[in-house]
This record gives sequence, structure tokens and C-alpha cells, in this order.
Amino acid sequence: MISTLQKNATEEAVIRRIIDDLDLPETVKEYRLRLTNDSFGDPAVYLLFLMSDDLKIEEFLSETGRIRQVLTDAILDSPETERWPFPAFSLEGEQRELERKYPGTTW
Amino acid sequence: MKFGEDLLAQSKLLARHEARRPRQTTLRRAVSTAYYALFHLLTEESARFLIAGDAKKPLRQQVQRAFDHGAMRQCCRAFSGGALPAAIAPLSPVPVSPELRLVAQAFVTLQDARHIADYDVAISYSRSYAVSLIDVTEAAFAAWRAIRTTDEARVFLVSLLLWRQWNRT
Repeated sequence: MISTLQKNATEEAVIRRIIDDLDLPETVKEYRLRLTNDSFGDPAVYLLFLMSDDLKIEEFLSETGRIRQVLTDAILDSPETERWPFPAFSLEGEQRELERKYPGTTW
Repeated sequence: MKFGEDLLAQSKLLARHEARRPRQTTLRRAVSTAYYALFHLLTEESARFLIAGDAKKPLRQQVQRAFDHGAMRQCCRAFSGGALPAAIAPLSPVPVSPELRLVAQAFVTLQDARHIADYDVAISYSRSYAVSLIDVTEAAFAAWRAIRTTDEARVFLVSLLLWRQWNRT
């Protein structure tokens, strides 16, 4: 149990370092990370990026599309983790509203 | 590609529906439909490549029913990572093109999202989350259109159907 926790902590640190090295734009207000298994039971990392509410929809899509691609490639190409990345994106205000409306059922 | 494109259009309609307060069920259907858009795009393309000609439509449709979601996922994970198994590597250029890699990654992403959307009632979605996944689907459609007649795309199309058989040890 302890070794699993230690391994997860190490992997989480690796993935956070990969993300930090990407030099994300200021429109990323926050990101959350969860190490778990995907819907098929394989090791995965789920990521939620909260994006600035100032973004127009076209900007939101182009920005998140670029981050998704760079991030996915970086994690898949890393020899330090075999977790499959599942990045998700939400506007910050919308996410906060969701969390207020459906407490405990979001990230 | 028609059925897949129609499903993609439908997922966009669903995501835009209920402008002020989208229902969770609507957003879930939008995400699920986005996955099936890509699924049907690829299975239709694969079946059309294997069984060409209007006269063979019933056979082609029968082939299209033979695709297995799990095997397609394994195939897409391999093409996403760029490391193909020994049986397939000699057939496809190395490295896998960015466009094909994008299509394969999108399939894995959307399949997992569909599973959560259809079965995990403990998760709630924002509209922007659903819209960003539909954008993944659109990007995959565009990338596929750019490479669909290439040799690597043909290997990919056949691999989607025969992944398990080609990887038996």
C-alpha cells in the first residue's frame, strides 16, 4: 500500500514537471490532476484545466486544442510514465457554477 | 463518411441546445455522439476500403458490424504512441504521421469520455467540457481527411479490424 502511494506520488511529480515544462499560457487559471485507471482498467492520468472566462469560444477551442495536443504528446513520449493522459478543459466560471450546483459530483 | 459526419453535426447541435442551462443528459448525449461520430467514420472508411463498390453494400455493412471497440482502442493506443508491434511495423512508415497520431489519440480520448458519459452518473459536465471534446472530434475528422488515401492510413484501417488477429503470439 505504502509503495503504491509512493509510486503514485513519484508519477504525479513526473507528470506535474512535464506540465510545468510546457509553459502553459496565462489563460490556464488552474489545473487538477488525478491518477487512476481509465474505463478499461489501464493506468491513466485525468487532468482538468480551468480556463479563463475571458476567452471567446474560438479562442477557448484553439487554445485548448493546442494544449491538449502538446500535453498528450509530451506524456505519451515520456519514458518516466506509462499512464495515458486524458486532459479535459472547462471555463473556470462554468466549472465553479457546476461545483456549486452539483457538489461532490465534479473534479 | 456520411453517417459519421451526421453524428458529428448532431453532437454539435446537442452541445448548443438549451442555451442557458444545459441539462446533464443533453451534454452526456453530445459527448457520446461525438465518440460514435469518429467510430462510424473509421469503420465506414475501413469497410469501404476492404469491400469497394455499390453492389457490395450489404457485404460492406456486414463487415462494418464486425468492428470491436476494445480492439480498436488497442490499435489506436499503439498508433498514438508510435510504437507498432512487429507484425505491423514493416507495413507502416516510422514515425507515424502527426495526423494519424491525432486521429488515434482522439479515438482513445473520446471512447473513454463516452464510457464515462454513458455510465458514470457521479460526474457532472460543463458545456465547455463537452464542446472541447467535440472540437477533438472535428480535429480528428480534418486530420483524417488529410491522410485518408495514404499507405499508412490503409494499414491503420485494416489494423482497426484485424488488430487482435495480427497480434496473436
